[in-house]
Amino acid sequence: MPIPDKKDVRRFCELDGWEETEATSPDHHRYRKRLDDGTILRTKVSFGRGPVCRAPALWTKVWRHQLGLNSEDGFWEVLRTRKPAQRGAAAVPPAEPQMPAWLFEALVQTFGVDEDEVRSLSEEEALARYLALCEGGETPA
Amino acid sequence: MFNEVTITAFREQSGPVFTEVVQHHRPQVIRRGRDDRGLLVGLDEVWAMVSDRAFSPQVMRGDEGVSIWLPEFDVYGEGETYADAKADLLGEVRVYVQEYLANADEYRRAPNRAAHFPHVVKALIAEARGQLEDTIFPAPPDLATLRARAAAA
Repeated sequence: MPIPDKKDVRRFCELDGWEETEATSPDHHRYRKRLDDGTILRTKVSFGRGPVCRAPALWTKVWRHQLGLNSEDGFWEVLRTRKPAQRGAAAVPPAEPQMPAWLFEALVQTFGVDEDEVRSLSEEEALARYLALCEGGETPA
Repeated sequence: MFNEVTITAFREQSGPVFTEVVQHHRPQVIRRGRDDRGLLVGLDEVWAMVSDRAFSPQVMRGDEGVSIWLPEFDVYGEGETYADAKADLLGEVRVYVQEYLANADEYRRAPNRAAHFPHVVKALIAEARGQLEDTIFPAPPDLATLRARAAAA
């Protein structure tokens, strides 16, 4: 499924009964919702148009951890039915393409590898590249 | 009780008590009435207490720009470049720590926020020490650890 547009997430927050907070933020709408068990959900939507975030893996984090949904379908269901989300037991999270920030930073800033190239690597590939560079088996860019 | 003063005595002796706590590294319990107690303790001591609380930001792959997720606070930063995303995330951390402390009574009881408290304290102290960036974005692990991890993968 595609990453939703910013206006979709704002609409979701309206339909799901989130409050828009007044937290200091010059370029984001910020929302918060309290669940019956005391859980506090919070999310942000930057001003303007376009997808709510850049990476599909990040969107998974957002709907799971910030919106507190069990599945991505739950997001679109709220928009379709115009009713608040049904929250229950969470499904097993899918594997997400990501790598530790120190690894990304070391490859780009220490060894001069192009950011786009690093983004295309899996964590295992990035780690292997880093070790090769550290051990002198590969020439820095 | 060890090192306990009443709030009245603290008002009268705040300077010496503060010196005792910060310069001589002796935490001080301050009591108001029968049950209200607080602990005055130096930043260095609290920093040591939260030394095992690490942050582990994760870079997400996307077609455009860079996204960084911080699992310890469930927040993220984004930008055209890694540096932009990093700055955005640090801003989010500052917003979250302020929000958490402003609502501490509620957030410390929230099932999904209670465990954040030590990390909130760590970020608070890191900011006071001018080390927020280095704290959120730690240095690489040592090579031996990484070789073992790569071999296991």
